[in-house]
Amino acid sequence: MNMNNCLTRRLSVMLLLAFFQLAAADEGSGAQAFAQLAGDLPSPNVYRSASGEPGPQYWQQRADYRIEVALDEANRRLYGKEVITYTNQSPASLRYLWVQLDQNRFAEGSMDRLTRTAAKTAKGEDRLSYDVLRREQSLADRRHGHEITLVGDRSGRPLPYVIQDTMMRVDLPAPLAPGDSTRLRIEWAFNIIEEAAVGGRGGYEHFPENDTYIYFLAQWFPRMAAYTDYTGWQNKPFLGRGEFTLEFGDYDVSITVPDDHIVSATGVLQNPEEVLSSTHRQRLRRAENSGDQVFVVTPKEALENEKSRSDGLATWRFRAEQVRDFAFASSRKFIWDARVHNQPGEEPEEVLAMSFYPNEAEPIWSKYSTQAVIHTMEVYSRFSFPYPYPTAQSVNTWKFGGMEYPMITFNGYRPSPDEASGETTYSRRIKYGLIGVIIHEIGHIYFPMTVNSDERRWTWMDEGINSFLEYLAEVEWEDEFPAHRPYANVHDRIIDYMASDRQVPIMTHSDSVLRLGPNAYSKPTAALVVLRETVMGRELFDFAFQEYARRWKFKRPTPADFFRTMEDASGVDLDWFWRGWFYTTDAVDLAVTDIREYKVSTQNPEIEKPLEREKFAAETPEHLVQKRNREEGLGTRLGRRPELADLYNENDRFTVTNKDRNRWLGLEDTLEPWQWQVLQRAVQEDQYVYFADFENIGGLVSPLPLTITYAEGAPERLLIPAEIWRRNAKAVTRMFIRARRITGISIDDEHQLPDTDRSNNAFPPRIQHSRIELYKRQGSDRDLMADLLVKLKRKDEPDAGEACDCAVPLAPLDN
Amino acid sequence: MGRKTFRLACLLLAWPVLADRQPYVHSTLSWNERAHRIEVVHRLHLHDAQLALGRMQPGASLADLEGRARLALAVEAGFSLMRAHAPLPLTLVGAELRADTLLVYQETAPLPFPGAVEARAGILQDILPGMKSSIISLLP
Repeated sequence: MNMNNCLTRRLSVMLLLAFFQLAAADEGSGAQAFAQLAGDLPSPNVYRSASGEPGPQYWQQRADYRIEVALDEANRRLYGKEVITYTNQSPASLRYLWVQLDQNRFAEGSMDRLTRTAAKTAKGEDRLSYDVLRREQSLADRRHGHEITLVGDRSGRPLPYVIQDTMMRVDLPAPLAPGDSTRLRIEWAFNIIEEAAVGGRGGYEHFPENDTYIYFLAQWFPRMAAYTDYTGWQNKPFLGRGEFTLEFGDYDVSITVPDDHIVSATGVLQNPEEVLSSTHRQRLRRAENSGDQVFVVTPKEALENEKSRSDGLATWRFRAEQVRDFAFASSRKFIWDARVHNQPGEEPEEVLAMSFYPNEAEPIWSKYSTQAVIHTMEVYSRFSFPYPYPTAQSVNTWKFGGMEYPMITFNGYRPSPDEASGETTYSRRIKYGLIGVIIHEIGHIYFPMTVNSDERRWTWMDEGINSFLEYLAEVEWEDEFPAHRPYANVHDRIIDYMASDRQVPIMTHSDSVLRLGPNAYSKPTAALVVLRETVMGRELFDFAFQEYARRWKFKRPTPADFFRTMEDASGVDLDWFWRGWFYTTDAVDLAVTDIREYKVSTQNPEIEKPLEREKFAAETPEHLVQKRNREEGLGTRLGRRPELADLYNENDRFTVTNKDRNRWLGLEDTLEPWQWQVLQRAVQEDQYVYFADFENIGGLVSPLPLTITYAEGAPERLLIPAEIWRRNAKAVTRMFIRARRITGISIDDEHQLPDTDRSNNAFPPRIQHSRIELYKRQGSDRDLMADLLVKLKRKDEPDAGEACDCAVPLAPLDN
Repeated sequence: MGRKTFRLACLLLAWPVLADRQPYVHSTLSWNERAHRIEVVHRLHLHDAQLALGRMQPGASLADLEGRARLALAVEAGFSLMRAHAPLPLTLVGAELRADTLLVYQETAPLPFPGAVEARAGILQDILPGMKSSIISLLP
């Protein structure tokens, strides 16, 4: 603050206008930032309305499935046959249908395999990691991809088809008219990938310690591709990242597996009496009725079971209504626990939350998994709609990661044996990672499994919205939940990303996104938290968000539908917000660069002139030559010769003259009566007037959450809406009139925003130290570390010719 | 923020994303105006750091100064800065634990602001296959 003389500037009211002049270069920048999104969004039409709700002629296709599938455990193969009933609810006749064959991603010559790029070392040299080599070997060992053995009509008569990478076009004998249905029969088989070697959404996991397996099958059957009003047939191949959107329908699936397996699947088990013992059925009923968490299969039983190898088979039959996909997991290793979740007055009133996991996942899975499933439903239902299905399942299928399907999720995180003691331990990361991933994946059953957004095109629509709700659920799990490790606040975590070069806008197509995690998960989370907590407020946001979920439940929204609904239901124009956060890579970097302090001038020279004198003296300290002369007793000629004094020695330039007095007496005549009244009141109130300059350095227009500190009394919190940038989006000046004297203004003390540079957030500036400088101050620890580094460096220097055995050794060939 | 002046080359081992949980090391570059140095802070999760240390030296712990020093040296080996196609030497300042994150610090000698620099990172990828590196530039 320019207050180095501790005196307040006196401000003439007549000069106020001068301070409202804005930097001409930035004028008009607000018009661009606040322009309406009309040009970027598709035009509203009869299918999707301008309010963001489904239009009067909204339509979507329907696909019902009857599937029989058999697991050939000895050969790690899957055999299936299905009848798809496809109903054309679009206004167009369809001469052909497209079917997705996602297993073809792993086939020789697939677009995914052909377009993978090689990595380099830090020095820019070619590098082959053991992981990559293992993948190549695993893919080379066996044939992968769908082996289609029949594509036929309802009677089994073959239909012509063409396979294009992960898509298959089936040509119909006659166009399928609007409102009509047709049936397809498809038979297929494929070799199941070893997921840990190849990487995928499903596969099998091998436990070499005891030669046991978990099978988890996802994207495993030929599925009807989406046909939509916004893009026609979905025509993007599956490259591994952009997941999918599919059509809703009913499923009847019979799964044949070894009869000592336990199966978890989308839907509700139809034949427990055929596949479960009476003891297991009794426990399942107890879980459904008691409200307790019950082991249907205990850890001990699972341990015994995995030692067996039965030759018999059992067929588990599941039914699921109004789902867009089907997945299942099967293993003789599974522990199974269950607990009911009640939704009084809703449909369904009871949801069976279940977890399936091997003994390797204990003890944390029985403690946290089903609890996390239920917690997710409790929180998400409050923000969207009641959980819409009768079961919600969490299955441990891998060490890390997660994947979602209707009513079933595949989740990672397991404890590991401590290398020193051999005891099973788990770290904070494992614990909170497990809870977090289960919340995340179960949350996906709401978004996108029920609100059917299109992840093949817009990853953020389900990953971002879901991560936002996951964050809210994690905050409700316990205080300081490390949701964005090591931070609890997403804004503290996302700032590195938002300041980085390696960014693309959130709206980028899924397969082209750089840094998927922060782009599609964390940044949308941060955006929606800013929207809820700072821009809109909880009441408006929560209503609008719930309206979006309600409108698009069991329908397929696009980004425009989300953007429009949030505005339509809240009455808040958010086009500036969507543009900045979703269509650009601008960052939040707000700064307060100057504060000028004034008081309204009385214009009375008898008051003002002495103050001006005092101010001038304070601003111009006695100069050094004069001061030292005086201190040395040198004296001046005037001191020695007082007769040299005259009028000018007795009066300075601040002496009140008659001219000054006359101007003061005439002031009232030069002002309008109301201006005179305003001036008199201001003089009487004697308040401080401040002009504070704010800059938007990062480019992303944002509200200004201010903390104003005073010389006396409590600080004041003030939230200035983002519309302050509506004319000039780069720099603004705002006036404050306060009875108390301001000592400083700071922006975003509570970290409501992901401000990428907080060093400019306060005026007067606060002393900032870099983290390294703080570390250097730590003294003895730091010194010891420095010594060790020198010692170890010397010791670890490899002998000449010594090779690292961590990467696959490569030897160049001379051609 | 003059982000245009920073040329970034970051090594990322391509591995299909299962969902949202991947081991990562984030390296942040910033300019210390007072000291006229580029400062580099590498952040990696304690779990990943301990796993890497265990593979380098079974039984070693990050709770010990020596364990942190060993890991800091491994991190140092996977990161480099270049200016005008010549290496820009970095000093390894040290490492410390904060919550469940290991921070490793490096800095240049005092120098005039170098303008465009190039950073390369492949930190711990030889020890933890699948480890990803990302570089964040906060250079002016």
